[in-house]
Amino acid sequence: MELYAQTAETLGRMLRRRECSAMEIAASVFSRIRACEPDLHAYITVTEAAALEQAAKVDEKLAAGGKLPPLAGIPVGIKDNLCTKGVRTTCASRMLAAFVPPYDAAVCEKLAEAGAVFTGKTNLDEFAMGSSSRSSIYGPTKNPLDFARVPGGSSGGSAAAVASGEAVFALGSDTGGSVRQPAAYCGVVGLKPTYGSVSRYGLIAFASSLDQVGMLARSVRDTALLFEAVAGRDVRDATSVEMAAPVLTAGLGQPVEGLRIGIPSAYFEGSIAPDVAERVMEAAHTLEKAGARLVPVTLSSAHDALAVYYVLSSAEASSNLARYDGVRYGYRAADCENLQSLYERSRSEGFGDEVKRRILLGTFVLSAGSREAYYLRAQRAGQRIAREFNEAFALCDCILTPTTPETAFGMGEKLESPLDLYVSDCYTVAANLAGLPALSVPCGFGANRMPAGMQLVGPRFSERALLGAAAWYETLCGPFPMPALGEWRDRHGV
Amino acid sequence: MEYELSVGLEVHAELNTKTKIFCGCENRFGAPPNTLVCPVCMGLPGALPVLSEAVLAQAVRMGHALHCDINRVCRLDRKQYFYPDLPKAYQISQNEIPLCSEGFLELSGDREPVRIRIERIHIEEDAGKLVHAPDGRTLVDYNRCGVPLIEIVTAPDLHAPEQVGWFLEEIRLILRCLGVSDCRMEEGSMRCDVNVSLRPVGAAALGDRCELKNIATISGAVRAAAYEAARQREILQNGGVIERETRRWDDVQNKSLPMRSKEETADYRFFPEPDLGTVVLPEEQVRTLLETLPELPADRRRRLCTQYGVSGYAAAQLTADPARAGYFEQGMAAGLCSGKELANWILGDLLAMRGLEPGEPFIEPERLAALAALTEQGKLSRTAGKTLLAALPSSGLSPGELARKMGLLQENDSAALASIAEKVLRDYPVPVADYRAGKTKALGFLVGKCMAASGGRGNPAVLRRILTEMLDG
Repeated sequence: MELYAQTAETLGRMLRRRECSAMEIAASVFSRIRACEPDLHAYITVTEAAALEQAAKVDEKLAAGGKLPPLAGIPVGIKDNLCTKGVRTTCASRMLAAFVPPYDAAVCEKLAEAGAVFTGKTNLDEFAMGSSSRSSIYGPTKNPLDFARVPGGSSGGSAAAVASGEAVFALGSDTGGSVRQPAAYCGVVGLKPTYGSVSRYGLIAFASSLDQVGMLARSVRDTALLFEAVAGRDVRDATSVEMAAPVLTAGLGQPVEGLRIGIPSAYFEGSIAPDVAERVMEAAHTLEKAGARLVPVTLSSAHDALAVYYVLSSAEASSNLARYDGVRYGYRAADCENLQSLYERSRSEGFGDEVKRRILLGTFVLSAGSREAYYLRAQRAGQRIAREFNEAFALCDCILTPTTPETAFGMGEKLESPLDLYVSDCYTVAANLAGLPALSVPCGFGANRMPAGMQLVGPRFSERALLGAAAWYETLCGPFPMPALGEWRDRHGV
Repeated sequence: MEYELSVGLEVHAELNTKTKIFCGCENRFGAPPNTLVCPVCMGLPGALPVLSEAVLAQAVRMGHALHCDINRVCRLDRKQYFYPDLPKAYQISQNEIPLCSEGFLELSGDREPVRIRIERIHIEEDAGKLVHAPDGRTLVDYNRCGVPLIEIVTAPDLHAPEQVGWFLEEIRLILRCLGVSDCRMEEGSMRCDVNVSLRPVGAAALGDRCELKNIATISGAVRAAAYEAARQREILQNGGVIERETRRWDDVQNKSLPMRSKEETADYRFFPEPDLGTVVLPEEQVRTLLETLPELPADRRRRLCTQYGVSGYAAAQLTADPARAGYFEQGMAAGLCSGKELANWILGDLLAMRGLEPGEPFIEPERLAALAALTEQGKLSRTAGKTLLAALPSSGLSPGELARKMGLLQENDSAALASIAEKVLRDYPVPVADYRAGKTKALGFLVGKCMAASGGRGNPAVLRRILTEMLDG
C-alpha cells in the first residue's frame, strides 16, 4: 500500500522501525495532493515547502537517535478557519482572503509540538456556515467518491483530503455537525469532542458557545490519537477544561461487554432515507450481537433542535462577524466616501450570501423587538434539549443515531432554498446545543454506493467510551473500507 | 412652579491594574500609539478574552467600599455597536447581572449628611481612541482597548449641582484610597455621564431626563448639571416638555448640545458573552476582600478629629489625599506636638512649598513634627519656623539643632529678657510715662524695642508679661 493510504498509527510504527522516513511519507502525500487536487479541490493553500522542512527535522531527530514525539512525521490537514502563523487563513471568504495571522491556533501549536507535518489549509464553507463546502470563494470541494456529489460541510475539505489520502488525518471544526456530516458523506471517522475539551484559541469563531475543534481520520484509533494530541485545558480559552479521564489509544478496540446503547426511535423515522436508516440499524445490531444492549430512549425535544440551533448560532455569528468591518484587516471596499459606506460596502462585498443571511437572521433575533420571542426562547429550548439528553444517559451509556438523514447529495442539489440544506444538520446539532461529544463512524453504503454514517453521542467527557465503542465496531467489521482511494478513480477514469 | 432637580451619575473609572482586562497587555497611559496591543485586545479572528482576576478583585473592593451586594455568580455580556475604536464591534460589559448592586455612599463632613444610593457597579473594557491628524485623516490608537473600567451607577438621588461635585470628589477619594484607580482626569481615567431631570416639588414620579455624555472633569459635571437644570427649568416654565435625549456637554462653550433623540437610541443587542462563561467568585475571597479593605476616607476623617483633635475642615483637607493623611499620622506618631499644630504646618506651609509631592523638597514627617513642637512650645516664632522649614530639606540637622545654629530659637529666659526690658524702660522714658498715664498702646512700642534689642529672638509673649509686671509693679 502507498504510504499516503496508511493510518497514522501504522506510519508511526513504520517510522520508528526505520521502515520509511518522514520525507518519504510527506513526498507520498504531496504527490497524492498533486494528483487529486485538480479534481477534488480539498485545499485552499498547500504548504509543501514548510512541510518538507518539518519532515526533514523529524528525520534528523530519528537519525540522531532521539525519541520522537507521538505524531512525528504524520501529515495533517488544517481547516482554513484555524489560525496558522504566517500562513494565510481565509475562512474561504473574500473578507479574509489576504489575512495572515500573527499567531498559531492552540491546536496547531500542539500538533507542531507533537511533530505533525502540516500539509496545508483545507477548504470549507465560507466562515464554516454550510453543509456542502460549496460556498467557498475558492470554489467547491468535490466528494472523493463521486465528483458529482458534495463532500458535505463545512469541513468538506478536511473530510475529502482524509478520504482521498491527501492527508493522513485532519482538523476540522464542528458548530452543528460540520465535522460529523462531511465525515459521514466521505466515509471517514469524525469526532466532535465535548465543548471545552479542546482549546478554541485561534479557531475563527462562528458561534462561540457551540464551536469545537474536531478531528477527521480514516480509523477510530487515528481519531483518538489526534484528539489526544490537541485536547486539554488552555489558559487562553476560558471555556476550556481539563479532561478528567484522558483517552488511552492503547486500550481501544476491546469488546465493550454490556454497553447500553440508547436508540431514539424518532431519529429513524420521518424524512430519513430508508437505506441510511437500515445501515445504521444494522450497525446497532452488529454491536448488539457482540454483547451490547440496545435501549429505547426518548428525545422528544430533538425535533426543536434545528430551529434552536439556527437561532442561537446565527445570533452569535452576527456578533462574532461584526469585527470584519474593513477598518483594521480583511477586505476593505475601495473608494468609500465615509465611515458608514466603508462599513456597508466592505461587508456587502466581503461576505457571501449565506454568511449575510445568517448575520441578518442573528441580528434580527437579538434585536429589541424579537429577542424574547426568538433568542431567549431558543436559549431555554436549548437547555431543555441538554436536560433531555442527560436524562437519557441515566438509561444508557451512549446514544446511537444516523449522522445524516441521507448520503451525500449532488453538487447541483439543494441550491434553491437554504432550508433544504439546513435539514442535513438535523441529527447533529443537538450534541452542540448540549455540549456533548459525538462521533460519526462509517457504517456501510447507501443504495447510491455512497457511505452512510452512524453517530454515537455520549455524556460530557465520555470521549473514551465513545471511541471505545466505535473501535470495537471497527474491530468487528474490519478496518473501514477506503473506497475513496480507488473507487472514484475507477468510476471517473482518472 | 417650583421644581426639584434629580441627578443620577454613571461614573467610569479606569482601574490601575498591571494588565488589561482580557489579555496580558500592559495597562499604561502614554505609550506610543498601538504598541500595547495583542491579538486579543485587537480583536483578531480566533483570539479569545480571559477575565483578569485582579480586575474582579478591585471591582469587588470598590463594591464593598460602597456597601454593595456582591453578586458572586455573575456574567459578562456583549454590547454591540460599530465604531472604529471598538475592534470587535462589541464591548464586553455587564448588562443583566452586574458584579455589585444596591449599595450607597453617605456624603458627610461639614455638611448635612446625604445618602446616595448606588444601583450597580459593573466591569467592562475601554475602547481605543480616535486621533484626528492635521492632514484631515482620522487615525486610531488601540492602546486603550481592553483597559479595565468600572462603571458606578447611582440612583437619581443628587438634588443640587454642588452635591454632584461632592459625590464625585468622594468617589475619587475612595478610588484612590483603595488604590483601585489613579483617577487622572487629564488622562481620561475617570469620566462620567450625568442624567438630569426636573419634577414639580412634591411629585412622586421623576420627570423626563436628558443624559449628558462623557464629561471629563468634576467641575464640568457640576456645571453641566447646573446648566441642564436651568435649561430644563426654562422649558418647563414656558409650558414646554422635555425631550428624552442624549446631549453632548461642551466644556469650552459651557453648554449642552443635542446628540441623539430617544427614537435614535441604539439597540445594543446585549447577549451573554459566550467566550467567558459564568463568573463565580469564591465566598472566601469576597469575605477576605471585605476584611482587608483599608480605612475609608469618611472613617479616617472622623478618626483624625477624635484621635488628634483637628478640626473637621483640617481632617477633610488632610484626607483629601491618602498620602497627605498618611504623612500627618506618621508625624503624629512621633508624639512631639498637637494635631492642630502639625496640621497647620502641613496644610499651610508644606503644601505651599509642594513639600509632599514626589521629587520636590521633602521633609520627613517626624522632622516636621519636631519643628511644629518648637513653635507650639514657643521656642520658635511662626516666622522663624518658616525660615527653618525652608532650610531643613538641604540640612542633615534636626530642627532644634538647625534652629540653634541659625540663631532662630526664641529667648525665653526671664532673667535675660528682664535685663533687656530694664534697659529699654530706661532708654525710653516718654512711652513709659504714656503707658502709666493710661495709653496702654505704648506697650507695643516697648515690646518692639525689646525684640529689636534681643536680635529678634526674644519671645514676645514673655517680654510683654515682663514689661507689664515692671510697669504696673
